[in-house]
Amino acid sequence: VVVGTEEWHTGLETDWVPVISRDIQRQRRQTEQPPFSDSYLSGMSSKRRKLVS
Amino acid sequence: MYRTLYFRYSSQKRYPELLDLLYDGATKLLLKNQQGSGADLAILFVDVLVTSDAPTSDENFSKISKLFQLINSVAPERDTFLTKALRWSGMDETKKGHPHLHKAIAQVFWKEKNYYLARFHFMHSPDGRNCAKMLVELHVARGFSNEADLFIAQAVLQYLCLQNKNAAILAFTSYTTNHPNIMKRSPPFLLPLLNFLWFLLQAVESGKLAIFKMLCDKYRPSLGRDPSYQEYLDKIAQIFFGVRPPPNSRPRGLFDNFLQQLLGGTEEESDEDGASASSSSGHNTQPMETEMD
Repeated sequence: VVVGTEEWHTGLETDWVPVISRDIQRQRRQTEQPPFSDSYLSGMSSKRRKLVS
Repeated sequence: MYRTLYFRYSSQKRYPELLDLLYDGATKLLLKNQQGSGADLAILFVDVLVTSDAPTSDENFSKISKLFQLINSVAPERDTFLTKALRWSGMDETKKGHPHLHKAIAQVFWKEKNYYLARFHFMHSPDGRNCAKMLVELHVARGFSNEADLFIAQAVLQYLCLQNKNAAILAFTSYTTNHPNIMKRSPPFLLPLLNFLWFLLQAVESGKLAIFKMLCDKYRPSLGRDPSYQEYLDKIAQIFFGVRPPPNSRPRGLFDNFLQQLLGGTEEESDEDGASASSSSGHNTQPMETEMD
């Protein structure tokens, strides 16, 4: 990645750019989120919990 | 005998002696497993804290959490005791209870492995470090392997929504350094969502909206894993980046329903919106005290 070649590089610390670029690539391979565990769900508000579970 | 002394000291307004008497009496009875009488004295102790306008000091918080620990976790008086104690300690009009009392109570629930209530009280405390340690324990014991980054993302975003930036930073650092499945102990991380949080915490410090928007855009796939995150980020945009709330938005108390359950002592789940009629101004509630020990 050459820093400054894309618009979103503007105003960033230079060491952020390669990390974000790599994460953009990684997220393209992201699989669908499986259902959440009960212990994770219990950290949500009750309303949201009803919607997702 | 306690009652007799109670009335005598009360009428003479000898509050320090009265508080000592009630604290010692409650402790002794609870240790002898005389739960009913012990819990009654513990509740009286809090009532006298109110009557005597006692200082919200760490010493008093420590006494409250010790009594709380001794009251049987299934005793009905326990809720009453905690509700009264939190009300007494309430610092501002949000009446959420003093952050340091929440911290002490969270520790008690954590020891009891009541993760749900421990987490709730940690969220209202400055103790991000122990909150994260507990979340590591909880994730390893009961979470799914792909949720390692979600557990901390949920906590960091909620801390920020509660305007508790210091706790968010402490929680993030503590979680990433203590979690056995997070191989890299320092940024940049292998998991994109962890990098997002690391950048977000820095963006919150700088208050630069353009950077915040860019991060939300580039990390959209990760943030989409939990639909709640967008709601949290909207609120964070308002708090830290000066974004105006959309017109006609009603004040939203993120944890009001939790709080209602806790303070109302009911298991009934209220609607998130308007659960609390107390905050009328809406988007700018009083920041919580986040002073560190």
